[in-house]
Amino acid sequence: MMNVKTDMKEDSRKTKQNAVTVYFTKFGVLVMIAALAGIGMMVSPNFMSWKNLLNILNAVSYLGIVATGISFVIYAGQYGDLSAPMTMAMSGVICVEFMRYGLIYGIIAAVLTGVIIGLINGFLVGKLKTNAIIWTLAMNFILEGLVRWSYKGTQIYPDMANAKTYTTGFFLPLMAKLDPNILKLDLKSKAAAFNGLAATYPLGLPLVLFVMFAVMIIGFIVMSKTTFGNQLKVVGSSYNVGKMSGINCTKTIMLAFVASSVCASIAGIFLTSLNQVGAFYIGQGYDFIAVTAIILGGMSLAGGRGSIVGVFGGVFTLGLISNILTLFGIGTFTQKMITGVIFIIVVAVNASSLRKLGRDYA
Amino acid sequence: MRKTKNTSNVLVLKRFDNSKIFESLNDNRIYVFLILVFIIMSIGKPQFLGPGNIVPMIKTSLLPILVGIGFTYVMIGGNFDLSVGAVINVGACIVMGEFNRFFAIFGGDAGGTKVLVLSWVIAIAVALAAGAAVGLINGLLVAKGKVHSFIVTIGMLTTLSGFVYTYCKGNTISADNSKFVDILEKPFLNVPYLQVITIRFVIVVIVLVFFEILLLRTKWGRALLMVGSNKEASWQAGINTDKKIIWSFVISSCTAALAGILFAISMNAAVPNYGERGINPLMLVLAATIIGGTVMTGGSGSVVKTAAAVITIQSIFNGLIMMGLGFDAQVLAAGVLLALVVIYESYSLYKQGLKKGERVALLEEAAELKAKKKIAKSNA
Repeated sequence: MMNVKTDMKEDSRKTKQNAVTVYFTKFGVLVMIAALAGIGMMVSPNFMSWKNLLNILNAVSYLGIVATGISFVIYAGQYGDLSAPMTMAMSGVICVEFMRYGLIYGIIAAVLTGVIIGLINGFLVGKLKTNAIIWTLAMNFILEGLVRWSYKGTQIYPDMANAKTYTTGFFLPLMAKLDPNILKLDLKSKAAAFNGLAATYPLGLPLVLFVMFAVMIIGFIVMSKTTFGNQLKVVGSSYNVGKMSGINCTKTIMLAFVASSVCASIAGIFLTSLNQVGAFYIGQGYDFIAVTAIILGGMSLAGGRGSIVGVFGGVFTLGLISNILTLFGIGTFTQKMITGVIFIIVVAVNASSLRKLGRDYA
Repeated sequence: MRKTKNTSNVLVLKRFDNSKIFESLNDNRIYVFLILVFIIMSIGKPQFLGPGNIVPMIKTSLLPILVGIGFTYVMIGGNFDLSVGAVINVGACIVMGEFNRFFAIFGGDAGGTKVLVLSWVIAIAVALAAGAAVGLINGLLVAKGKVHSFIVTIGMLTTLSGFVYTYCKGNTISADNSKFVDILEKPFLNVPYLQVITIRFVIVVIVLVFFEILLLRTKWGRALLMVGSNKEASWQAGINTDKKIIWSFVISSCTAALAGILFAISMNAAVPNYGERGINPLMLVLAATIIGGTVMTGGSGSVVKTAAAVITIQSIFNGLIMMGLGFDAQVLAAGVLLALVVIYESYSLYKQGLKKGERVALLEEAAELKAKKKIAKSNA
């Protein structure tokens, strides 16, 4: 007779997170912010002053706009939008080209550029199911090539208006052909209006800060209160479930990419205005740092988990880290290194804690 | 490949044959592409085939070829290594910095050849070890920590680029003694075309052949291919999948570091931001790996094909320069080339995905029915 083992071993795997872990994953960013604020207060008495906090927020406001956009892509279960840096640069350049007809035209043209880039990305990733990382990287290279090739390696200044300006660029030669009087346009006041975008202080606060909060509030409402947000959550958590329940997955992913590119465009306009020059290197490095902020804010790379509040927390944390390291007298490049290490550690801890529950692969 | 029992069905057989030819052509498309580029360029500009173009072209290809070896390995395992660009700089800067340090410790020029050799050996060993350490960390996080490789390596990229700037203090580093530089770049034969054969070239060829044989002719390599195509099945078959993936990352970082080392020594200069303002080596290698036929999801690929793709892209670059289009056109061309190949690959995968639920037997039945109806119609 076979010896049948009747008493099966009880399944000892964990099915529930303990309370500490739950609170840490939920409010992890807040804990980090509190800890960093404590360190900051110890380092410098001026740290908690209103002025310093405002400086920190102002420094990360561009990042906040970009991160809000990219968080939609990550929420949809695609690993990120690496074409954000060149989307920023390209929109800045387009805005400078079109602002000679008026600032509002420049902004509309730049946002339209973002929409088109987002649609292309979304079609490739959503419809043809290209790997999002590879495709957005390729898109970034194409856009970089386009900007550099059409400008022959030169830069565009908002107030530059000689005959040579109209020989390079995307639409500038066309503009010169259509309207020969374009050289007589008064660019001084328009350039001042464009450059003033980043230097306007309504209510004593920089305009970018208001834009960041506006983008984040809209993002928060769209992500957590609308049908589109719920669909995004389903598609992000499980693509097949979304498909089976009748969601148009292609459209959802496309819209997520459009949101990302439009946010990058808005940030690009402000960053170009801040630098007062349009060039291909505007916005370099924003892709990685935005992903860092999003992951720090508790959004899961597997998709469908996290919130814009967390993203804001992540962005603010990065600002705090940079501020404190500067107070310690640590240089920019070492700061970069430390940020990278923190990022890797946070991701690894997050992944391992989720894996212990058998929940996640990201 | 679909197998048909019913050999009398001419229609199906024809499809079968066509797809076979097309498949082998698609497998070896990079060689066809390479020959085509050479023919077109040499018709347009006859000096394209001259030694004045070919020799520098192959010399500039040596760095991306080496990096491409590791990148292909990682992609075959089903992952990405975006940190290769930074590892090149790490290898380059560390080898120069450590050489200068040890050269000074051992007594400098007064010590003679012995000190020189010893310093170079230690410096190269340290740089390679740094590369291996980076690869080990990447591999452990990906295989054991189950973090997505994209996230790990992009974090590593930032960390390393910060590290390299701190290491170099933002400066260019040159070696205090440039004797080895001359040896590494001295051609064996001073004959046109054969000037390309230097010690650096020989090292790259040996490494390339070694890794091609390792991948396609050994048990270890076949196991890696299997891990890439189906991780679950290869685990069931008794392959230690985690170990394979860790090794693929170590190989990637080591080859990238070696590429940086050889490049820095041959130039006698190491900069912390190589490729940041110019053509990103990552872009070139990514494009070459995908054009060379490595499947994006892993499981198939060849190192030599990647190398051929690097030479193809490099010859397109040189052709563009000869046509007077300048550097910025190169960046655009590389991006467009990469995008086209990615679109083509994903479109063919998309087509395959559409066929996934297709039941061949039913389709054949339907075709037979249609043919019968047609015959009945013509009879009537």
